[in-house]
Amino acid sequence: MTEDVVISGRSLATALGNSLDETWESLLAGRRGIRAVDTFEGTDFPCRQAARITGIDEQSLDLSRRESRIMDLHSFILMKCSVEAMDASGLAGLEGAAGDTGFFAAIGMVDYRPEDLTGGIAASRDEQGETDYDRFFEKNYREIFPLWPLSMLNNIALCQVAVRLGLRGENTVFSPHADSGLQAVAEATATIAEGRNRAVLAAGTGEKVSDASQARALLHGILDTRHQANPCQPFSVNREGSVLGEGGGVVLLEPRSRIIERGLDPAVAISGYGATFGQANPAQGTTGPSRDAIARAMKTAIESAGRRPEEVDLVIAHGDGTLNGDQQEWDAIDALFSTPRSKIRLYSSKGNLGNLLAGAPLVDLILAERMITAGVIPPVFGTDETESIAGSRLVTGEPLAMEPQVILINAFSYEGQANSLLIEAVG
Amino acid sequence: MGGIKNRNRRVVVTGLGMATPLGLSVSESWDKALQGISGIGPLNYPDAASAPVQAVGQVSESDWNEIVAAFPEQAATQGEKRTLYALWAARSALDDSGIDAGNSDPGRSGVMLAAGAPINRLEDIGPWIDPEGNFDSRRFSNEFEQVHRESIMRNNTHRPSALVAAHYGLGGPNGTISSACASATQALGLAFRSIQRGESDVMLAGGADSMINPVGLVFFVLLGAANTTRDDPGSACRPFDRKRAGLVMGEGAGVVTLEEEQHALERGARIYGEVTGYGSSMDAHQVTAPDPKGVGAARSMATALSDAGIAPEAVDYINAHGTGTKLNDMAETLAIRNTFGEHANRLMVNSSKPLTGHLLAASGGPEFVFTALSVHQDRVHPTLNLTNPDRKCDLDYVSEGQRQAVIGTALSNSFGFGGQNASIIISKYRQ
Repeated sequence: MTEDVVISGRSLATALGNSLDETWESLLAGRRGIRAVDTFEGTDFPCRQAARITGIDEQSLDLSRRESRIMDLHSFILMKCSVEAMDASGLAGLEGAAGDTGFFAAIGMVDYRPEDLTGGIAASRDEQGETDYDRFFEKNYREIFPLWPLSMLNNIALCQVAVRLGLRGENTVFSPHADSGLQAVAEATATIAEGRNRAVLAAGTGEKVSDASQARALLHGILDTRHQANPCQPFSVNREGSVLGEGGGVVLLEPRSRIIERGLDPAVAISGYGATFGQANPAQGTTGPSRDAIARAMKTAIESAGRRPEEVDLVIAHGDGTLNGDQQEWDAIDALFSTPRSKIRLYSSKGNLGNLLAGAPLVDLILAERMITAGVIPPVFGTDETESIAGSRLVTGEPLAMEPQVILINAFSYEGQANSLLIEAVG
Repeated sequence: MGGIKNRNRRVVVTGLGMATPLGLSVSESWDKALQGISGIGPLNYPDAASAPVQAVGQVSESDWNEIVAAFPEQAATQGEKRTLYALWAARSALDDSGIDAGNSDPGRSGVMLAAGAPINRLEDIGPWIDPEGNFDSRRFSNEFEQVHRESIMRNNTHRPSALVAAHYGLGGPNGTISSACASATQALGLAFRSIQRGESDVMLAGGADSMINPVGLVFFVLLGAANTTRDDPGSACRPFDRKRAGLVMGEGAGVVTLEEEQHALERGARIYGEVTGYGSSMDAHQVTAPDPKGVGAARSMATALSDAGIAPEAVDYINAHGTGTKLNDMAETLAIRNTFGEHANRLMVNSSKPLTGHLLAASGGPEFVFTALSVHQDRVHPTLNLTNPDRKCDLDYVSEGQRQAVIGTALSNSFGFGGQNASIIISKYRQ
């Protein structure tokens, strides 16, 4: 029999706080991290709201200028959360432990900072304002910082953490959407279960809110461009789209017996996983997964844990507030959990935290663990029960006292990937 | 979940596909590789006569036109070349395997592909720089819909794996790996595990990449890793040679069909070999250079050997990462020596990069194809351009020409910028 793989350390950062406690208390209090942001002040983007992180930078992480020059927000979040998760587990100080620790991370698209390139490009313009490539190639590309290319590689953030913590185990960087976050957790879990590493960090960080990421999200058609006051309303009949959020989370996974030896008391085991593909509307290209793909992912995750749908207490939905995405997801959930015995409840964190893309599932996983230990589910922000397409299944209004034992977490891509993860309380 | 429930699920290679500077046909590309004909040539890109890099491995214009003709709808709507390369290589791998995607269980077939650094075009920024040299966010916010079709804002790294799955109706696990130059080998390794664990029966795996664009052409020059000499392009990439002068970029894709053994046997598939082991590691040294002692690389190979349950002496051939940079080739040589001990003297080691150029995130794809063909045909292609032996690179690099030898087991290495390493093992299939 395979031993349980459990969470032994965790850390997250969101627009509601750079710690689990801060974020959790804010969620229970119904606070919201989404607001009009300075970045888009003076711009005419049709959506100028986002959920931004503050207070994580090179100073707070005690990084050298040399290190931080090739880092951006996603790297800072990954570094902070990885160090804290290792510390919380008690593994950081154990001789030789880091060397046998693996690292699977999901990292969103990494965008350039215009100022990194403007010097070289501006100096290469001809009299008509067009780029003169001869000028650029002959000399002006050297205006670019020589290590700038490293900052554009998705994997460098993971490698910097590996250097800081001395991690040498199995590893992969997945990208760029939410599904990749669950893939990182699933692969990390399997790596431990198969005995290839004794501990593995599973991580996810989203994209920095910037002109480029906002433009990409708008071009993908996923942002709420209608509600200026209350954008991103998961599962609401009034939903119009999502809002980008910054943040991410890291968990350290280990075999259960190993952390009990260290005197820790595990609360959650990773027990099931399903991954599928199927576009909801191929003609439109980037509409996210179909209800069939979502249903198959959830079913596979439940069955791989040896469970039945009626044993699931809570679904932490992808629930990004998009018109088509939420409908596909709710239809799949409604069909799979339609048995009379199912008392399934539904939650989404995106109304409060924004859409963290690759970072979302790790934050949801850490919140799920807290829901199990605290015996309470925060309310979904921005959606009233009377306006919910999921009816009373959706947790709205006030925090709900319940003791979930089995939680399913969904995470999707805007290209059609659908992943689900099942976690269970262990006592 | 959590682990390989049934260790008896064996994974075999049943289809090979490529789109590289050597061509679009696997058999023709393999023939060229054996004969030592390089696909690297002079750069052919608009307005790039002054680019610091002039030797590149490009998919030829005629081959590109053939790809466009094969996928006219995607060519018209999709931005990046790599997405089209992925489609071509995936189609080849499926055709070669004989699998009819339409008649297979779609939920049991998936895709795992590598994707490299997002492309950053000067055109993403240039039009919105104001007279003072600053980026004009306001104007950009009104005009972002005008960004180039290859822009990072229109293309995400998931696009190739999604498009392949959508085109062939593959509804199983689907993922994108972004571990720099280790990506494709990691994609192959994770696809192997997916089948082993019973999550899927068939996986298309490998990678596609292209950075032949204005930013890409200076990318590795800035890092000091590119060959900027004006040597004859065909001899510019010189892995393990004393006069090696840096990597030479290539572009394209390598995708293979991995299949659960019984699934393949039941339909009478041709089997090129069996994937028997996979391992990865991190250098944890520094992100700007590989560990000169090759500790991470050695760990990656040792992990793959352990995963396969074989002794180092069982390996006959290594398809090296072999980039032709000073640091990589030395570190990899040392890592092979430390992993294989005395047996390192009996190993055949080659690099495919002088043939195709460095396909970056995708490099492990075509190199896996060549490794599988070596195991299947007992032939190894030569390492081109190794004419000045380096005393610190002292293995048998098969520099004199193709070689015929029994290859029971082969290993393919891929190492990524930053310090991620991956190794995968293919063995001769025995029922």
